[in-house]
Amino acid sequence: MKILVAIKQVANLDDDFEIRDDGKDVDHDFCDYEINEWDDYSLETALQIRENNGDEGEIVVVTVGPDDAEDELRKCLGKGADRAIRVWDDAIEGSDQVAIARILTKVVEKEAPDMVFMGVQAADNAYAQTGVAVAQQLGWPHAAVVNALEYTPGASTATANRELEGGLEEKITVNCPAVMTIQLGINEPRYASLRGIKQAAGKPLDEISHSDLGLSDDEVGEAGSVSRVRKVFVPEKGQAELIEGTPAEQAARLAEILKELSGA
Amino acid sequence: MAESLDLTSLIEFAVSQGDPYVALALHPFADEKSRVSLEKIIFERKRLKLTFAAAPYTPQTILALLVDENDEQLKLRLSKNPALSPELLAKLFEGASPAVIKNIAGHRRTPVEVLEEIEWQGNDVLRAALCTNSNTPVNLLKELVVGSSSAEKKGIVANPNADCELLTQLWNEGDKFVQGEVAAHMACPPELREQALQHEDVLVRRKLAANETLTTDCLLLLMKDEDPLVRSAAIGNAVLEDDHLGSADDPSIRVRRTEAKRQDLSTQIVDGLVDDEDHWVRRWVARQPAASDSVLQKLSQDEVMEVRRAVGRNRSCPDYILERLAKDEDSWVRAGVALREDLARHILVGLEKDDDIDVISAVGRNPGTSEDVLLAIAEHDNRDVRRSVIVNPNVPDEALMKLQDDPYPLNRAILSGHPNCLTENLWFLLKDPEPQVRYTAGKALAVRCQATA
Repeated sequence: MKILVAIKQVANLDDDFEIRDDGKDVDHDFCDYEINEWDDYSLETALQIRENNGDEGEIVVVTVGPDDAEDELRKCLGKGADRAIRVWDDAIEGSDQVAIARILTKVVEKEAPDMVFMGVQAADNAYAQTGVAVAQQLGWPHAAVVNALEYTPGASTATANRELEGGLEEKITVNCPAVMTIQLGINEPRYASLRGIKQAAGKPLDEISHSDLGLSDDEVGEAGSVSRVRKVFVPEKGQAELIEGTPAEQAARLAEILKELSGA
Repeated sequence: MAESLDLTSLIEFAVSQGDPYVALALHPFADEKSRVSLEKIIFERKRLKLTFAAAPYTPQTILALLVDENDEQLKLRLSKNPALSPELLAKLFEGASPAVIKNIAGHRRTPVEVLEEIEWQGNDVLRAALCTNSNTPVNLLKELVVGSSSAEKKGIVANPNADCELLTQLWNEGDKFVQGEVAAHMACPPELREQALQHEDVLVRRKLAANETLTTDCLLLLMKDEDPLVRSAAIGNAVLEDDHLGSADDPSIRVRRTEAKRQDLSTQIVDGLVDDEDHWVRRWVARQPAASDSVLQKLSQDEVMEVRRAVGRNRSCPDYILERLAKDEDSWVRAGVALREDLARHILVGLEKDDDIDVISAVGRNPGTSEDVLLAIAEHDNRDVRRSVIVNPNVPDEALMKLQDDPYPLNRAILSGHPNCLTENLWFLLKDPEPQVRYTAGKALAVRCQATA
């Protein structure tokens, strides 16, 4: 049994931050980085499946990200993943969710896992598209927003509960291999033991580029993306005014504001 | 080196590790030469500078260096740092931008001389910040009150520096909320107290009743107020002496609860409240130091679990009642008994066998618990239960050695900051994956080095 868990290192913003000079992202100096919360639950799901299978099988974590993202992969290895893969090179910079999905698809094809787990969405960009895009590119079945999963390694199907609007849930059975996007709360993610963290330093972590996966420069980065970030900005705040005074004074001020807004 | 208490070894370790959090913890303890080495690590990345500028735990020695940097983003964060010293705030004020001055104006540690220098006229943001700063001096408050809005008046009236003259002006110009705050102010003049006493609005009378500078006569009048909120505030006033209490017949639950909460009730008053229909009243009565054995005996059989627990937490509770409560059907009651440091050994032995996590946690904190039980609790499956052992004054070293490797980061953070933590634990925790743990361990080791030098 092999489960591939895709994770992302996400940015956590400071109270006071600055936008980068090109206006397309927040200046990295003003961000803290951590593993995407949803991905913590995905990894825990994989670890529990393996534990319930007599600790048989391999869990591989993969991320598309720069050098710093290695910290998150090491934490996953510390919790019990067996192997990690980091895909990165300069050409990947600027990839949108579809280009990232293309890279992950190639990793899945190379690794040939029995199941792929990803978070429903990333806490920073919140596209919630990468998981289902991977499934689409692979031509695999998928279940999105999974909050309960019944899967026995080697089985030809898996049954998932999907969280819907209005408190509803949907129970579906999908053929395996499949891609599952995992929702928060499906389990209680563990903490890595110090022993696990120390052992993680000795576990294999492969660093590969897009060309190692057989992708051309046109298939990654901005060239391989279907969307472009034009601008990241803080929207202007609305105005509020506390109108004070006697009822007559308040009414007069209100009429004044209405006139200003209507252009009268 | 790993167990020594030598500052030089500690600094050498920090420099070799290149850990900014350990370096930060050691910086105030290091000599000039070592500080330079530590600063290279602490200031290596812009991101770290921004983090440390805003962090309340950052030592003043580092904040002083950051204040000197000509970086607006750093200055903005420093101006929001609640731990920044008055001297550094004064330095930060020199040539500061409007955004930084706004934060300085509202900072609780800004020196009066700086507040007086701020040019707030015509600037609503600065004016609002100064109005709500409890450090703003009375002469400046008197300037600010002229033409102030209702919201600004509410900020000014809460300032402890306000004097009789200013409070009188605020009373005359303010709404009932401002008048209520005037009535509650320690410097409220006697003539305004008289007016507040007769005020038609309950809010003003209630605020007055909570004023701890009131005379007993005034409080006695307020205790007869028609509104229960006013009577409750009066009876909760610490100025009121025991012989004026006794509200067992008051129809308001709120009033009786407030009285029961006081810790200075006489036996007679406690006896009057013991049969109260409200379990919150009985709960507070069960905690009273003056509660007699018969009162505690009665309340220990109360149908409400929280009342029984309160009896178990009462310092005056005799052993024979504790013995029964230690076998209570409700685990929260048993846990309350297990928390008692003065618990007789034979009762604690029974509780050591309990399998409820609340009780086990309480047993883990109890200094009378046997060593083998503490060792077992230190290995409990529940992470919150394991933590209880760390704060036990008689925790065995063996348990601490187990807990230094606890997978739950909070447990290691608590251990690193607790006086029980062994020097050996602290050295181990210097390599912890959590920055908070490494910082706390580094600081604790440096303090110990200094104490033994």
